[in-house]
Amino acid sequence: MSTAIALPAPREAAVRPVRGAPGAVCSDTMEATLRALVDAVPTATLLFDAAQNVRYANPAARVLAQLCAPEKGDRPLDVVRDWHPDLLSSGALHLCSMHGSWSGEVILGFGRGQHKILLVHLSRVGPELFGMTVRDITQDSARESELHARNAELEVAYARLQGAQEQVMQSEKLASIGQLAAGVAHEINNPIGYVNSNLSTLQRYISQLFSAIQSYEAALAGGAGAATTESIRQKLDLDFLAGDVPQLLSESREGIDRVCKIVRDLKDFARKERSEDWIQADLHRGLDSTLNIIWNELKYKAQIVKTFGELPQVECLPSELNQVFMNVLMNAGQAIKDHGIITVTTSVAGDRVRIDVGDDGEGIPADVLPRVFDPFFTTKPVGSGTGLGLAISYGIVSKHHGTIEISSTPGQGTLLRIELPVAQPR
Amino acid sequence: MYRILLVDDEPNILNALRRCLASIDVGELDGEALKVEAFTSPEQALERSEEQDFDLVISDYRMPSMDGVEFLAAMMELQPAVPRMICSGYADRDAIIAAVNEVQLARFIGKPWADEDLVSAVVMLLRPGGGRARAQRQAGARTQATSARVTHVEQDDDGAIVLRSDDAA
Repeated sequence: MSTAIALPAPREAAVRPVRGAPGAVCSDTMEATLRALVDAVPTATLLFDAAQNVRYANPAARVLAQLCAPEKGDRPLDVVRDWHPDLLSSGALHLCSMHGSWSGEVILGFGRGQHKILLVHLSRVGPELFGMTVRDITQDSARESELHARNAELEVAYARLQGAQEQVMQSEKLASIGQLAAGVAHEINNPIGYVNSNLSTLQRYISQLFSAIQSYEAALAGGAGAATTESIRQKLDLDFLAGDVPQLLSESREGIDRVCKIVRDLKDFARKERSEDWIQADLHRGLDSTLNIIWNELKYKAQIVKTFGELPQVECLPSELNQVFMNVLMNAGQAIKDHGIITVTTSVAGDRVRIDVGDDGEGIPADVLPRVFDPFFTTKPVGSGTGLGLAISYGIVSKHHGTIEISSTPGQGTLLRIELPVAQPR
Repeated sequence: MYRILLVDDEPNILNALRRCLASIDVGELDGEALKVEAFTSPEQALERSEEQDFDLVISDYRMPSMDGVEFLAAMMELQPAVPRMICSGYADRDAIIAAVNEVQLARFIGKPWADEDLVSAVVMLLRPGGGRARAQRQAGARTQATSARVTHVEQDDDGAIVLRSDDAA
């Protein structure tokens, strides 16, 4: 039972409403129980009237009163406004009288930068009678702001990590393009080479044609006969030009088309998508454009056998999958020493699609096999592999909720199986 | 007549090279005609070389069955004196070094090439006093130098020192 030493007379007030309850036989017992309950609550709880005279305060409230006005020592704090000028604002009290209750945070300063943050709840519990609970949330709020700060730090770190990961992926992509650069350069330089040379030839042909026209004009003006025109024709090799010009033009056009196609394939491959660009895509298209680029590299050593099944559209990040295909195909090509066969097979297995890439190259020794997906693991000479290709491929396939498995027999070849769900789980 | 052997796995390149070579004025070759034989397969080119001597070989570097250095090495076995050129878009440094060291390349021309560069290289290598003749003559020139019979020393277009003596030609 509370003794409320410092606060005389609250008892009566506190129990008044309860006492007013009609016909409660056990009201006294109930009142005692409630009082015990309120006394036991660690939240400062008090009752006061319109004049802010305290009618009841539980022990936690008395602790609060002392905290608010330590200089008053054990002197009774009968009036709420004496506790601390900021604890109960007239505005809050007014709002409570109007609406029945009011809640808010109150910051109490104690000088020397000390302050407390309190969560105050006011309620009108009877005519001219208010209940008030006050909870000290200084620590909570410090913890909360600490938490906010830590969270912000984590978010920054996460963003940095994401940026770094994106960078690693992009640089791996560029590294694989770099490895292809020689092949691509060759493939572009060839058509550019003959188109360029053909243009020089065409320039020569055209000046030949113009001089033919001039000779004809002169012959016409001179009223020359068939023998003269024939000799002009032969001298300027017009029959040859008539045959070669269309051929030269169609070969040059073919060259330009080839360059356009290579550039388009490279753009398809290297396009950087925002990571949220999940779309329904035809995996065969990605495989084809990747094969087109890598073909420049592979055609000198491998034959590619494509066996494409009927695939549904797959929900995916196409350019990321292209990077997986590129890594896997490059590895297959590099496994082949002189000449070999690379197989690319697609099929449907239930609600998943399957892409198998096989080669009849060197194979992977059993002790190396478990490590091939480890980041930075590479058996290639320094400078020719980042050791990230399969690690990144693994990451990309996992992001697609798919699986990537590898099996290999040294001396016979390697099979890599990628399985991807047609639709991503929601 | 000068015979040139062209090898490239790309027929369009062969056609363009032919057209380019056709622009050479026979006057620049001291009135000698130019005959070009072109092959997309290095093996067939080698077969042909067993029965026909050439005055110049121009090969691609990157070809499916055999690379340019392998081809020119085989060509060297068949016709050691023929000047060898590579015309390639494959700009790998190691490949160029291998080509120079292993088959004593006379010229490396990158793709895309400028027609006038190709023409001047070809003329240089074919012309009397150019590549083939010069190679043969330089062996003699050393003797001439020691016997102080060299009467004229000049630098040619590509910076090589050309040794001429009045009675050598």
